[in-house]
Amino acid sequence: MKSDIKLIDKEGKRLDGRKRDELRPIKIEVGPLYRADGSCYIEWGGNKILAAVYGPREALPRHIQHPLRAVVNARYNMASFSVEDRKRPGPDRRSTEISKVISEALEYVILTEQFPRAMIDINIEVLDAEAGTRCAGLTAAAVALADAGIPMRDIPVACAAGKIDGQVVLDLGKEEDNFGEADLPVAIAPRTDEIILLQMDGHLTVKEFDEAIELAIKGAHVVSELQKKALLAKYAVAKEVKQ
Amino acid sequence: MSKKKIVMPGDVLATAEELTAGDGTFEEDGLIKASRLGEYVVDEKSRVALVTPLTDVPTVLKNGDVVLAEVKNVKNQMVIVDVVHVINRKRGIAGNVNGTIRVSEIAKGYVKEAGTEYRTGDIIKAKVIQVAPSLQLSTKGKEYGVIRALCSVCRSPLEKVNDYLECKQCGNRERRKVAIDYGKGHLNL
Repeated sequence: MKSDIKLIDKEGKRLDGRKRDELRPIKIEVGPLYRADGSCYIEWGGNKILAAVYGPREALPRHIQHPLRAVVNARYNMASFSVEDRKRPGPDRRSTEISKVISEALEYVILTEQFPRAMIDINIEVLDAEAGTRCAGLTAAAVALADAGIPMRDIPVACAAGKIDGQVVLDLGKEEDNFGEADLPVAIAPRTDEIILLQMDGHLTVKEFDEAIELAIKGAHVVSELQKKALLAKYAVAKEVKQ
Repeated sequence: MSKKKIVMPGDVLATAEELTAGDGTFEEDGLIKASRLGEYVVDEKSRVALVTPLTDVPTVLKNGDVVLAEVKNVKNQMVIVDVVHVINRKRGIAGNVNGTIRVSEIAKGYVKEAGTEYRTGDIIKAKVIQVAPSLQLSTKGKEYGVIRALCSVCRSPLEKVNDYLECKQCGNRERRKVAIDYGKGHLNL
């Protein structure tokens, strides 16, 4: 999609004043929901997302049970008021796909073999959307899982890179996503840098692709530190108060 | 260990040669790693690495747990129940909740048929006596047994009168293996 909009100015600044390798501001809050077993609220730029974890609990209907491990069931949903034009509520082609890829990414890090015949439900509710909701949603879901005390290999984290005005940049904003050339969301297990989710929209050359992945992983590590800080802020502080 | 260290899922705690992986840890590529957010503790006596959780953890049934269960089916030799709640736990149960109580585990005395003590739909308090390969419960002891039952004639709640359960609606009298706190119905939620 070619347009007249200049996404990067002469000084190399982007529309919202960010540099090439700069993230949008991120705020993570652990455990805002009382009824959920684990929960997380994230604000990532203009994205506002709630994630709630329920389970492990008996998988129902029973034919979905796996005799050796738990079933991970993530549900990504956008609120009708999350975008400028009202979104028709309910699952659609896009959210079904995102639910599937997030489920599979999280299933990889969760120690599912500890809970045979069980089901872990993860609800990701997008309240306000501004590009990069699947990355922010997965990041929030990971924190909610840790909050629920569900055994995991690692705390997964996601971040996107993309190409705008012929340059590879980190964490696309709304206009950059709409008028840019490519978007590349990447989720990793940060301790081993294993890629657990990788999608691409648009076109990149092999060289640009390598550059974008490297940039996205670097960004994910920054977000990973924020996840841990948010978890420690709730639990390490709560422990000190008890003593 | 003097100062306890707070660890995150995936943090490397030790090598597999040093210690064995215990609760809240797992072994991967010869390393012991934390699987949950908590404090890293080493049990020096058995050389086991543990992570005592700071977060709430999933409820897994274990021997000795006191649970609430609903009677689903009554046979001659056993009662089939669904465990619905573990006393003093807020969270639901992870995994299998389908359990059985053998006639010999219903009461301390001799019970000829399970149907004389429990009926479908009764809510009972019981103790877990086996988890694997199948979930087994026991209601031996005066604190265990039915805590809520419905009249088999008119389905209104039964009340405890001396040794019997009596229906205030139709006057029907029934027998059950009742718990000492029948009708008190607090779930400790």
